[in-house]
Amino acid sequence: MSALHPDELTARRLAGDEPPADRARKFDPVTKDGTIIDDPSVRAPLVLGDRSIGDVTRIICGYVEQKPGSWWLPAFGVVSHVAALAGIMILYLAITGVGVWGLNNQVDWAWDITNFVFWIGIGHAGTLISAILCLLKQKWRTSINRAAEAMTIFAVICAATYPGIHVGRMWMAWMMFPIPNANAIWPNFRSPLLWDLFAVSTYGTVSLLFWYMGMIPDFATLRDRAVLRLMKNPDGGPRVLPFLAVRVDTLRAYIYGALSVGWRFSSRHWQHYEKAYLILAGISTPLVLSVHSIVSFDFATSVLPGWHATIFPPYFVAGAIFGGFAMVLLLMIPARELYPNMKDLITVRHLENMAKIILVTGSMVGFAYAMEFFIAWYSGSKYEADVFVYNRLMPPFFAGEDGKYAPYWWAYWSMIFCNVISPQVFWFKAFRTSAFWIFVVSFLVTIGMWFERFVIIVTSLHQAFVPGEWGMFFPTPVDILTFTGTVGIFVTLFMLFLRFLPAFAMSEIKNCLPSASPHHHGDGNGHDHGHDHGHKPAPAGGGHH
Amino acid sequence: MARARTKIYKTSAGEVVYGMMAEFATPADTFHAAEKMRDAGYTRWDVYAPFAIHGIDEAMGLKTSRVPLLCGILGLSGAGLGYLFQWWVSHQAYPMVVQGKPYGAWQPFMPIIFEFGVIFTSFTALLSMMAFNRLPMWHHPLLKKERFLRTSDDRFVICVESADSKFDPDGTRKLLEKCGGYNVDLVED
Amino acid sequence: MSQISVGHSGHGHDAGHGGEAHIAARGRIDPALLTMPHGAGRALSAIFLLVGLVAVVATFFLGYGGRAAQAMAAYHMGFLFTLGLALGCLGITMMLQQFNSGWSGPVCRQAENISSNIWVVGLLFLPIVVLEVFLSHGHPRLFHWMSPDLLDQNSAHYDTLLNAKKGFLNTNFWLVRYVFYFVMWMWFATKLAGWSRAQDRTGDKWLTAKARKISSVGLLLFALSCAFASFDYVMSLDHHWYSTMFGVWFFSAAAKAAFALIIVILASLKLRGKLGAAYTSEHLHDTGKLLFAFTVFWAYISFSQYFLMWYSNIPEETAYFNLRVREAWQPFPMIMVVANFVVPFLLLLVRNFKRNPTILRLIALWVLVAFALDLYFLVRPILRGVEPGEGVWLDALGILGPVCIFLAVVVRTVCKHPLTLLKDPRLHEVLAHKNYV
Repeated sequence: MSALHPDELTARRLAGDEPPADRARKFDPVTKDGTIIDDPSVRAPLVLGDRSIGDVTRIICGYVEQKPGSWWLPAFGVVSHVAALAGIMILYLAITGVGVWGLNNQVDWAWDITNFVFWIGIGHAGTLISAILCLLKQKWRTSINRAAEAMTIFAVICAATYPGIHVGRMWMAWMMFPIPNANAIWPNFRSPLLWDLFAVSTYGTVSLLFWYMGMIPDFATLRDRAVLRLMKNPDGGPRVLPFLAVRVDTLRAYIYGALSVGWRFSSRHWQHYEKAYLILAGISTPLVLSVHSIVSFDFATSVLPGWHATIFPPYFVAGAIFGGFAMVLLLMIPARELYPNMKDLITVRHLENMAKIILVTGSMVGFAYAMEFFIAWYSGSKYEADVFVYNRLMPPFFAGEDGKYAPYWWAYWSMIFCNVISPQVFWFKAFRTSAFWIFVVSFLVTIGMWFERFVIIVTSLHQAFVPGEWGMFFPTPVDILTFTGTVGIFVTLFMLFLRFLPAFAMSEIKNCLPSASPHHHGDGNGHDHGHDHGHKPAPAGGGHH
Repeated sequence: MARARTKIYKTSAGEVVYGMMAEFATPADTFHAAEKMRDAGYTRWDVYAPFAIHGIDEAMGLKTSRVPLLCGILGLSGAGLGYLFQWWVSHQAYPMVVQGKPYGAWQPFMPIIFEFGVIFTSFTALLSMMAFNRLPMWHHPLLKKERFLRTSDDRFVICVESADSKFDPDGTRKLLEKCGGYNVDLVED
Repeated sequence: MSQISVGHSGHGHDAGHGGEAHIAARGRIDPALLTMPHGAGRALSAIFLLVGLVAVVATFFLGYGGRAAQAMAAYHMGFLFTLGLALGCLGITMMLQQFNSGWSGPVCRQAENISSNIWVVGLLFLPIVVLEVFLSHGHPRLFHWMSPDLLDQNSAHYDTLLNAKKGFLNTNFWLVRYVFYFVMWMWFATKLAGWSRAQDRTGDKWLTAKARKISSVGLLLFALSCAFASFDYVMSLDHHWYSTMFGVWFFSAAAKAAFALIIVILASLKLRGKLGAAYTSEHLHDTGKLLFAFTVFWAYISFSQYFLMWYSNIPEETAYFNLRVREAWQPFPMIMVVANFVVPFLLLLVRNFKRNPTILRLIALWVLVAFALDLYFLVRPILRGVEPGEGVWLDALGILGPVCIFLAVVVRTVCKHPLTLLKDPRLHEVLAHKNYV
């Protein structure tokens, strides 16, 4: 026996999470963690730390199987209480009526729809990462797609809350669905709001299917690990509750087992699975475009200056992806710091790529602002021009002799600063490879994208054609607390996801490892910057005793 | 595809044999072994790997999946159904004047036609994948094997079913070993 | 037979014992497959040039026998066709650089070949400039806003709306923009194509990094210039009408046509036995998928633009479609939808069609014809009083002229340079490219 048996190799790795010391990476100011490589002939490694296929399983399953850090419970306590705030506010709304909100006769669509569009937009990055980047064969997506998809679903949940509660008599919300009823009344299929209902529910459903289907093999991995532990020691492991004689692993084996629908990693299965996955990716791509386009139709099909612009559909989609990526980064940068080994999966290269997407989509949004502005002037229509100048842009200190200025100028300029100006720092490599600056810009972008919806919705409405219908909108505490509560719901769900579900697409990440290639013969031929592949093959028949 | 068995094999302990499995060290070994198994003419066998090895379907000689075809047909039908439904509601069952637009105008129906198509395609993708794979199937002889369960981590396994007409305990074992398999073992049904 | 080795000693996953078979199969390629023999394409190019010149002369000559406006419009359609091809390819080149894509060597090369000839498009616009600006005697046939009459407060034709936008729509600024656009596009196209051809000789991999850098800034300028060019050359044909989406729409149509032309070139080379492992059915499949994506993108943008105008029903905007559904134009919108979307969409859904060079080339040719129809629908209805189909020969000649002249130079460029990026640092990825799912 000349070579190591695979079992021994695994046993060695199990001894410690970190790779052997002689292979420890050095942190370099130019290449950062080794992934920021200018050389176009080198593809940066997707997983760092000389990880083998087994390491990937162990790291990712570890997030679910091991106890999280001491920060988890206090943090969860805070966010779940914030989430409860939304429940209380909605209850208060249901008891009292929409009068508790700040919307009024002039601005009759305000806070609720702003937040609806904000949340639904957040979700789009998830689908972009999982579907569009999948079609474009961007392998780096594999380590962020699962979390981004989860984020999509949670964002859709937050978004869908608003249409449900804003109707006033929310127990009549079922009337939105085309359900046969005693009055033989049907919904109006020519209304953009009904398209919204269909678009959002389709989006939620398809995202859920996509997410679930991606998780089937990973559920099976979690199931098998639990079963293996139980096979080794049926009475070992922690109990569910101190007085309940049920092992956590038993519970895992049943729950993950049920969810995995008996997946057994058969290649005959993989074949259909990959096709189906590709089709879901293919169909989700136009879906994600359609959802925010349909949301934009809510506004663009009207005749209101500031709302009616033909560029709205692609502009909304670009904005949604922009805001969504910012949210992915806002969630993943802290997670990367808090969870062990996550920096090996989400490398600086991943962050840089996402920063670049933020720059691109931010520029697209800037392009759309410019087009809207230019055409408002070019159209020669006074109302079109006025909505931009006197509803949005003109600050009081630049007002002309007539003293006319835009009351919401601060909202408009916050939006321009956050969405168009702040991402421009990503032209510089130092910024787009620094987790800190990416976090700062993502934070600004999230604020900016919220303001964008506020600007579009509120500023267009508050001064329409006739001065008699002019007015202002100010949010009430209920408005503000409801929105804060939805942020709580979102973060709560995301924390639960990281705790109980496979947060990374394990099987896909494994497939991106160099050792996963069927043409890889693992003799360490100096792969990119010394990250040679850890999986030493046993010679044929090596373990045959 | 009923299990037409030519012969029933039993282990020394008297258990009915489901098949014979062997482990492989790397995806490359598995890939080449699959090619050899395919060329040896086996039909009821499978490669088990923690991920879809690139090109393994060709190495195994699998036929193209029918999932896309089904999705195409059902997706387009779903879109058609979406149109018919909206037309029936807006033009036949409950016509309402909205903005002076014609009752049956196709333009405003487009968004929901599209969503219908999407939802049909997506469900077809997931459900047809499950149907072709005969899932859910929570019990399977292989899932009882401790060694097998490690495929979900980092192992590669080829298993030949005893129902394969070419299955023969000695010959199959030899072939698996020749292909680079180790820990060759019988799997009880 | 001499062979070019493109395997990477350092980091090809295939290198190593046991992988020799793969290197032989995918890492090496006969250089004769990647270059055209000396003098190839000359005849084709000469035919294109001849047809093009004859068509241009005929268009104007015949047109000035009483159909001057139609001749101008027809030639303008031809110009827009070539502009779409060249601009679309410039955009595609820069996008491929940005995506850092490994599989797309031949696509990138052909996109560069087409876009580096954008100077021809600039020259092809000169007759319109001369005829509209300098020889129109105050009565431009195509760009009515150039007529000084419309800005004359005492004239019966005084146009308040035009007066409001004269800061943008005035002849001088329009000429400055013309020069600016083409100089900028030429600069980017020449730089990108030049670097990639220099790399074929020197093998300097840093040229790829350089190209990636400038195309990031380039894309930003490209997006703006492409949008404003579409306003200048198309939207301003009806200077009252406006749409914020129009720049995006023009890009979607242009990129689709440009990609179709790339496919036509590559598939033709493939059918002549060229390219070998650099462009297999796997690459065909992917280019087919991208054509599909561009088709869907065009449909999405077109539908959104149309639909929002249809639904809002604001007279300033619906004028555009009113013009295009009146009387004999009525069937055209549906013809457009079928030709530009339904047919390519359904055909490109079929996997085997995308993997077959003959069929994919046919589909791509169809897409190009549909683009011509698209332009016809865009430009021709402006000529009130000239029914569709009236003087089709003139429209056809007008389109044929610039297009054939442009294709003549494109054919020359294609034959002059290697057919794919020869020393692209990612060439091993091109050769190993495979769709696994």
